[in-house]
Amino acid sequence: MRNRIKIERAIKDLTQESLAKQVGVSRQTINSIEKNRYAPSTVLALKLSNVFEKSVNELFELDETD
Amino acid sequence: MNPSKDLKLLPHHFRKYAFSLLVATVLFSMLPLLKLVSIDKNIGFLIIKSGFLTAFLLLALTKEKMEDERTIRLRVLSFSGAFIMGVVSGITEPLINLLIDGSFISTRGTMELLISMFVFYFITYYILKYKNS
Repeated sequence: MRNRIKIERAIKDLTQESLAKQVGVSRQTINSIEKNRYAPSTVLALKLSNVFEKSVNELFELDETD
Repeated sequence: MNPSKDLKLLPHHFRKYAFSLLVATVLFSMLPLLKLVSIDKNIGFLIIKSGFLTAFLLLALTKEKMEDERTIRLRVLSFSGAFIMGVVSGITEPLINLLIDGSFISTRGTMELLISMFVFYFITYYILKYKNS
């Protein structure tokens, strides 16, 4: 699964730490999501979509391996 | 629905109690070496193993400073890995003893097996935690 979290975070000028605080997870979790090492739960994906004011489908997309 | 609230874990400050118990157990294990006190060997070992097991259990069940869905996933992965390791070592140990000593018995007790499973759990958990962060 690919995602645009890093790009959207840069657009909003947010650090990993501040984004993590807003969605209630650790900075390491945000880092893992950005590096596609961890697929977030639906709840976390929805929280991220609220922060970036984008739909989940705009933030995350399936890749060939999924 | 919050996955981090589904798994009931002890508050983070329990980590201090776990480490205190670990230190106390290590110090207790040194007492006979320093000849400060004489305890029956079997009772001494039982106390030491119980101390380590309790401290490890407390550590394993204590929340991280920032517990979230990723740390819970890593916990589940590590717990299942430790369980599989325990079963595999329980099955293979008598076979290995048969090859080495010629006796088809397990020399390791339940407590030793549980301690080795906890050690495996902690190593796996911290490797996964720092590798993926």
